Amino acid sequence: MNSSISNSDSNAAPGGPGEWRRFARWFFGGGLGLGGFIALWIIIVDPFDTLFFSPPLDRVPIATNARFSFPALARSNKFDSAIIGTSTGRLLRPEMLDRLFAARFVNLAMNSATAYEQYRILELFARQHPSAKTLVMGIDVVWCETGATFEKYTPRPFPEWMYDSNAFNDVLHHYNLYTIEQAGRQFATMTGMRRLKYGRDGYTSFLPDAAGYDLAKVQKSFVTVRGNEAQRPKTPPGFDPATLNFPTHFMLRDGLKALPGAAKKIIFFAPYHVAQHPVAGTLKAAEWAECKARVTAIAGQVPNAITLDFMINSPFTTTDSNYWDVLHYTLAAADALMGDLALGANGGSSENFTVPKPPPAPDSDQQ
Amino acid sequence: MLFNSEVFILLFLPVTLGVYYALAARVELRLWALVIASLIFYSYWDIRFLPVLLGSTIGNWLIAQAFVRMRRFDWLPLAGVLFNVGVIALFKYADFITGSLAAIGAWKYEPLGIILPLGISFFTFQHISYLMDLRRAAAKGETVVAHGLRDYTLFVAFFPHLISGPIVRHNEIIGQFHFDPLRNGLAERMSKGGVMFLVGLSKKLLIADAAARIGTPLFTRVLDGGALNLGEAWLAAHAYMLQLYFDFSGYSDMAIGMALMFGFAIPFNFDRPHMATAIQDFWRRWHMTLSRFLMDYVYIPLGGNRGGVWLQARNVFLTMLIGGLWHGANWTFVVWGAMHGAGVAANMLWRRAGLSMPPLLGWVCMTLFVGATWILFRTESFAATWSIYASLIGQNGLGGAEIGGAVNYLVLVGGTIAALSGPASQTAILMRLRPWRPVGLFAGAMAVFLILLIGGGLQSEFIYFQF
Repeated sequence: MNSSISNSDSNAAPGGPGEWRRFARWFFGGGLGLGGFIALWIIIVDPFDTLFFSPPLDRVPIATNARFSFPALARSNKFDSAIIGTSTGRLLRPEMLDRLFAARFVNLAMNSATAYEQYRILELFARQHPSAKTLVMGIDVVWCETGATFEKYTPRPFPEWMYDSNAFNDVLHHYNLYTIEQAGRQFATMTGMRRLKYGRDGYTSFLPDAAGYDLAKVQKSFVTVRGNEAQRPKTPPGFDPATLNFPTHFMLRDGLKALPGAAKKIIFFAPYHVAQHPVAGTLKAAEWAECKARVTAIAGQVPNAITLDFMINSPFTTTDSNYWDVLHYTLAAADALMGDLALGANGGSSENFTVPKPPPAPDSDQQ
Repeated sequence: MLFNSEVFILLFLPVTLGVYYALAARVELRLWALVIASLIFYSYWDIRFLPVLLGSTIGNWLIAQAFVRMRRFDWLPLAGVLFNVGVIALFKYADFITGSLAAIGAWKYEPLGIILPLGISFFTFQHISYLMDLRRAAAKGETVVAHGLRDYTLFVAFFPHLISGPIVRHNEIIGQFHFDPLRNGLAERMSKGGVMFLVGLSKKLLIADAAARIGTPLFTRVLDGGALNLGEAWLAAHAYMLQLYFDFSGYSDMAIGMALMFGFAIPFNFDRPHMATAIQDFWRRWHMTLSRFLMDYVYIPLGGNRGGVWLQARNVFLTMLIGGLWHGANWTFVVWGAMHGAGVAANMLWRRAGLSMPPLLGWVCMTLFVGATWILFRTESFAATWSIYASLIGQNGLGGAEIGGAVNYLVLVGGTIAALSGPASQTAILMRLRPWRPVGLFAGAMAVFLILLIGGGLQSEFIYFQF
């Protein structure tokens, strides 16, 4: 075999120039035509509602990965208030918070979101809403992990380009199979062929059907978790919590400061079931205590911020029937939690939360 | 920018082709346009690499110019070769050399931390081949003409082969720069080049990357101190053979296809290497342009087959040793090269002794040998390699491997069948492809599908970029 391609036409495969021209037309023309049609389809449907030049159609949050669905909601001027967090904040209903806070809420809490992902959606919401009124932010384990570094992402894809301030680069990321699939779903939903699965305000209950709730089974899981907590390492002698590093806290501070000073900021420690609470004397308990103090101090540096601690031994967290598992409360409990959030934000008190006071000198979020 | 990225396929390549053909009638402009496009392509990786490419190109060009003007200084090309060896020694081997000297207590080791410019191993070889060819031509009394800076730069930096080859000789391509791009056969060249590019892209995305997803977790486990059972070790070795072959041959197909779209023919790099029935045969089919370079510029200067069979075996061994070191600045590559040197020398001695082997047995021996050496190539760790060798003979436990879903089975079976019975890409496309319109339409649809697949974030670098 020759070691390279011949430039001579004499070695070419049979087929005259005319046949090859027709072949080239079908090849390049067909590819351009099909590729162009798909591009046009994506632009018109614009499944994530992020293309500034797409037609103004009535789009809904469509992707099961909230990281793709929520940037459009965070940009929307239909809302002036936001809920940020993980699954421990997913069950807060904007419709109820709207009434309690006289605001227009969007739920931007994402299942399993890392601190970085929460920061990115908060920052986006703040950038798009210079007159934002209220923030409800759930603090759970991802904000209280210690160490030198932090994980930015989960295994779920996170589209950074949706979160930046460059509207032009979004188009470069739409040409893929995932977007085509989501465009199909968006089109089917828009035309009524598919049922709306996700709320237009970001709220969706991820809980199973209440008919399947089994309290005995839930309580059994609490026993296991409680046992695990009790076995955690004890605080070593001479341990100084001031030496702990919470690598994500700078993002919490920056995110809160990105909101206007007049905006009400309610930062709440998620109401884990008491079985999940760290046991006194363990290193985990010391880390949580320090984390709460640091978060409270950060909130103390931000105007109009209040910290509410629901991660305490309370009627809420000790009532087993309030929970599906140690982290996730029921829909009825969510309503009670929202009531307490409004109460706390307005200076009220309840057995379900405490209001930690920030230290007088606002300089304590060591990095 | 990666060949398997949307920005390359949807923007860089069409724009470069468009500009090139728009300037088809003006040879100066179209070639400068191609030079500029190639430099933009290279700079897109890291602008800091550009001075190395330009500096070495201009340096070699000046040496060639000086030699042509002052033919009596026949040491000039050799000085140029030393210059090139010095450049690659600095950028690629400085830490390896000082680290090795430190290990025997002869040096105080302070890592220089020099970033390896992409493609330096490839473009340095092209410089060396050019200077050596000039010197040989002069020694034979042939007319020696040094190329202009533009043509020389394009010969070295032409973006399809710049990062990972094929390693091209100046007399194979520079003359073609001056062919009319619109000459007869344009539609055929564009079509075949485009299909060749697609075949390479398919090899990369559908087989190599998928095989990597099967094998990488297993290799990672061993490199992290774990061990594989019998089935896992064989799966890892098999998956990596598929990954490496389809990754590198896919890249080469894409390079050859793109060059053809510009109207240039460049050498082939692979010819069904896994059908080889002996290790010598394997190296005639695998990375053919590297084998050719090593033959012409290392093996023959060492003496080649002159001086008897044992000297020839020595020369073969040393050539493969240098080939191993070329792949990476690590003792594992030296040992890898030595293994292949010993294998090729033994093969040569066997053949010279008049011994023979049934083809099937030869294929089994070749495959086991090459597969075993790829493990060292992959891990770059003697300990991990030793652990996998032990696993391959069941020393770390028997048991099967978790292959995964149906797609993984399809990749392993389909990739193996393609490697063992499929035609070489160049045979299938350049010789056998007919201008049948449904094939053209299918190729267009396949292009769209692959671009959509790339858009999903599946693109990964080609293995040979690291060399």
